Amino acid sequence: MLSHAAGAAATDAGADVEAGRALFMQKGCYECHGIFGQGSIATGPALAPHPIPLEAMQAYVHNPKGQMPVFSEKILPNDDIARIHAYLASIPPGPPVDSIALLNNGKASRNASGGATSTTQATAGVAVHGASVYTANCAACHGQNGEGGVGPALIGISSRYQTADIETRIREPRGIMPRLYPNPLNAKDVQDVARYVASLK
Amino acid sequence: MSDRRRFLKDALVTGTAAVLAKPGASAAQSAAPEHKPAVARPSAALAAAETQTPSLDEAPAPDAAHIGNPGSDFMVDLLKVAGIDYVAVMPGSSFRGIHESIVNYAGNVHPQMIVCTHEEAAAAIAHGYAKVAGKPMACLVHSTVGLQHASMAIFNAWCDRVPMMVLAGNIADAAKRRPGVEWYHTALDLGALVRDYTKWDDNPVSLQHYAESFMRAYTMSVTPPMEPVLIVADAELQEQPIAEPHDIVVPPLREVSPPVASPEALAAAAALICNAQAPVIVADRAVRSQAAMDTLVKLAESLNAPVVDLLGRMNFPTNHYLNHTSLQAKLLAQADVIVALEVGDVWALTGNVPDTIHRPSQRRAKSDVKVISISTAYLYGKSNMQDAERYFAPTLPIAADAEASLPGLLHAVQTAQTSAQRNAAAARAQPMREEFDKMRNAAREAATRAWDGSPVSTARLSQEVWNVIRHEDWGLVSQTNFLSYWPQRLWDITKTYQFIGGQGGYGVGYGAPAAVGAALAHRDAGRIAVNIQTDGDLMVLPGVLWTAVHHKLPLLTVMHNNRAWHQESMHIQRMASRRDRHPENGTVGTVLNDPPIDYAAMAKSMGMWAEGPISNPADLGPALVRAMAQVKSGKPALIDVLTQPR
Repeated sequence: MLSHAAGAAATDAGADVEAGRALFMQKGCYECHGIFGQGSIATGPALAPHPIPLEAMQAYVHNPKGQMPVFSEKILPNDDIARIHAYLASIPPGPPVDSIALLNNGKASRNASGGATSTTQATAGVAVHGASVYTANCAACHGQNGEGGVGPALIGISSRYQTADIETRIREPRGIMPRLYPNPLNAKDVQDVARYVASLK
Repeated sequence: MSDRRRFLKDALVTGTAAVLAKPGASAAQSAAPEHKPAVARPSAALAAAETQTPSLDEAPAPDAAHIGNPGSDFMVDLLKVAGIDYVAVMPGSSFRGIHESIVNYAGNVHPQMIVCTHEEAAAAIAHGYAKVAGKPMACLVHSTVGLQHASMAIFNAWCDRVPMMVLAGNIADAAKRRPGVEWYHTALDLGALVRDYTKWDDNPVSLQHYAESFMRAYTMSVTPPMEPVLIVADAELQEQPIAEPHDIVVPPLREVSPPVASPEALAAAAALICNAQAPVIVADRAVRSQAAMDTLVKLAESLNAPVVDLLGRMNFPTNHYLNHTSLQAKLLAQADVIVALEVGDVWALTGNVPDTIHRPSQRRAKSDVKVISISTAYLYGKSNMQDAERYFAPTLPIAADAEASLPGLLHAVQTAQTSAQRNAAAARAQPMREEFDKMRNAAREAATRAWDGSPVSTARLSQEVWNVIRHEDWGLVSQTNFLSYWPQRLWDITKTYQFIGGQGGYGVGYGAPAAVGAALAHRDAGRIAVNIQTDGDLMVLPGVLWTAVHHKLPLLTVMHNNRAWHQESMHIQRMASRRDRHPENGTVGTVLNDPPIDYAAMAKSMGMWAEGPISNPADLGPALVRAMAQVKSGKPALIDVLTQPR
């Protein structure tokens, strides 16, 4: 349980983040840097996650280089920049790139679990990989969580099929289900996604 | 036996028929020396008929109350001779003769009408079509009012060096104009409206004149630098019987060899390139064919020179280790030799004018960098529209078509390269591969930012689209500059037809109709088209959604709906910051959110399958699968997605 002082500090921090987000939008920062500070190769660099130190940001905004328009102390005082900084610092990193199948051609997550791995890590890697393959190749028809859609629901499928049977269905699809093996999915992809599907509850 | 049949029978014996039956090889104007045929030369009318103008043999009407052989039938024959498959049309009475001929004489086939709701859409559809089909479409516009509507899209096509046959109705003879409307729909010099941005125009006063001007216009349009051309089709010529049809001679359609760089110029270029320590190849509107892309790949590989694709066309595969487009600032700063292939703004390869208060000219390349520019821009220009960009004198300017000159350039480089230079080039391979991998991985890392955010990030949008098309034969028919270039940074784009560049003249309203035109060409090639469509652009000509439905085009439209003319938001915000007052007002007059526009409802109102708006990125993938089912069944579909600004 938070102490009163700690709770107040957390509330203040939350208020700063909210105020910072509002300022980020009102002052037009989002226009070039994106609503989540993600930046664009065409308009402005990423500011989040991990913004530059506050003092550096304050100095740069008031005296920018290149093509960034100047924001004077009058229209963007240091206190407001501090709130904007709090907002940017609150933005979490995106998911690891190797965990996003859509950034890996729908295929295996490269180095998803890093170099040398423990058995637990390896198991987690399989799960992440299977989920990633599922999101890219299966979710559109079977639902994000296996609830079904164009294709049948997969939740609870392990009560009716062995994992090996699921693998077979993926390798040898019937009806309108597209053939995904051996391309774009390889044997490892099929194995991992079958395990993932079998785990859907 | 008729003269024609007798001639053909005799010609089969002599071999002459083979020449005559081939469009573009009419004996009437053949310059080729030949043996004397055993039969007499055909009459002019017969030769014209053999260039597929059967209208010249149409019987006149049996009575004065009808017309059996209208001039517009002949005009349609010329479209057939030129191989023009489609005519984009918004109906207008000044070309009612041609309209009726397309429908009843041609059976609305070759050419087929593409029905449009605005003449600007008609011209922009022709623009997009030509870049995929590799040949022009015609657009038929209604004299003064229609041509003025079409003018913006003609301008875009002109800036983009795209061929287009614009045909405009008019009524030259004042005594034949009905009182009222027809006077407003006539101009003394109709071509003047667009002469600043057409390569050539004419106002023929007879059908013989029309035939010659049509062939001249077509030939000029498709010869690099390719440009739109205009022919005025006088209403009386369209509607009255063909006068003296047997005296009309149709010039053959002959392809003009494009201008190719001389061996001496290419040898000089090769010497510079082979000696370079840090060569960079920059391509803009250079590549029109897969063969040219393949040649450019070989050229780059022979030098291990990085390639910067400025994306006027799809010049270089995005997954090739020498495609270093995202590194262009660093590459141009370090280059000792730059090879510019049909680059629209060569000055900007070495300099820049930033959008700051004083707009100083800045150097971005080494002062002693050597620039080789191969471009048809040296062969053509007009003064009023300032698309020439800032003047720059390259080290070696070569007036030639880059595509046609690429094989010669490759040969010259391979011939000139010494073994030491080959070794030096080979040594660059591994560093180039490493730089490429770093560049692509950096793009993937950058794409993770805001991945699960709402509104949907443009990276997520791009990858969700890529996921549903990557196993299809597809073409992206929209530009990517408002999309942070994610498709080029993340997708494997390997075919010239998979991307077609942008508007040319940066005129808003090009995107949606050009996508429809490009989709038409893709459909004929058995491909599906994908249009990532900005909202501000669609609002200019939303009627093209109806055209896409009407013509059953397999076109997937995914809205990049940031509810703004966002480029303008940034401009106004910049002005406010510079003037130290209220940057928060930068969105006044530049956003489209009050009320928000329901693009799915808009599309549905025109008979198109649609879903949205989608703001949760997790909902996008399934929606795209549903949309693709429509597209793969040969219909257009639209998904409205609320997106990040860029």
